[in-house]
Amino acid sequence: MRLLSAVAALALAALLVVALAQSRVSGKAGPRVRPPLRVTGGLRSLYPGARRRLPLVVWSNRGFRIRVVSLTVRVGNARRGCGRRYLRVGRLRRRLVVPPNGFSTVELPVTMLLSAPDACKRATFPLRFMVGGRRA
Amino acid sequence: MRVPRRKRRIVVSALVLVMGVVAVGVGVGAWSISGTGNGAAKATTASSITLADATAFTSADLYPGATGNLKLRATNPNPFPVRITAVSGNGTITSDKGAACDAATGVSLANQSGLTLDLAAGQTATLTVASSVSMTNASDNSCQGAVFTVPVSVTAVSNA
Repeated sequence: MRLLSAVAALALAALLVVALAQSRVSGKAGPRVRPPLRVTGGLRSLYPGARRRLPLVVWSNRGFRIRVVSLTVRVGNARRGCGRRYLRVGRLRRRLVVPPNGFSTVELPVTMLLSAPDACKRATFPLRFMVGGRRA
Repeated sequence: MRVPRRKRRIVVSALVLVMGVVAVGVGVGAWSISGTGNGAAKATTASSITLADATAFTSADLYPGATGNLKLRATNPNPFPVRITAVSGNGTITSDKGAACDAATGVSLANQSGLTLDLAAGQTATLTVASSVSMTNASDNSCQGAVFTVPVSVTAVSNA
């Protein structure tokens, strides 16, 4: 019986350790913890048929190298009549490593469809970046 | 105290399970890193194609009963290539021969569509809209040798 209690206590401790570890590195941590990675970037002067490069900067506030394993861009609707379908953003194709407490840059291909209507003139598409990585 | 073998097996299994959870949990927690961010992609606005005097580029191919070409001197001020797809009349056709000819030019423009007149980014070019202008016998005699000004509006799309 005493042994079972010990095992239960150990399990509880284990869960606590896991929870602590998760809260230290997750991007969805509480207000006191900054996400380890942050992505910034954008571009201007798009027009129908434009093929451009979207420059992105991936910032790290951790003291070790991080290898980016996924970097996705979610495009939002610009305005009525100018939906997100008129803007296409490609995927990360190359290896990207962010130095400790530093940043790395990368460019993703962007295309505005030739069929983009007049409603897209001067329109701004909101972009949401999501990045995932591992300690290099 | 002696623990029965079955109970011992259960305890050992539970311990292994707990250690596994710890290993996987700590592993995932310590090594998976994520982040987010926001940005924007902004579209530019398109500037209108500008049309200028093309009289220097005309050729004398009109006479009563004939059909000739319309010359356009067009500038694309945009940072991207465009294609003029349509040209349509946008006012009264006049001449450089004065009132008598202007009153009866006999000249008319047939609206054009489905054109493929291309202009590069920032380019100025003289474009020819083939067989779009015609002259009838109603043309005044004073219109001989005249250069006609044909007001038009053009429709263009991005040709990137």
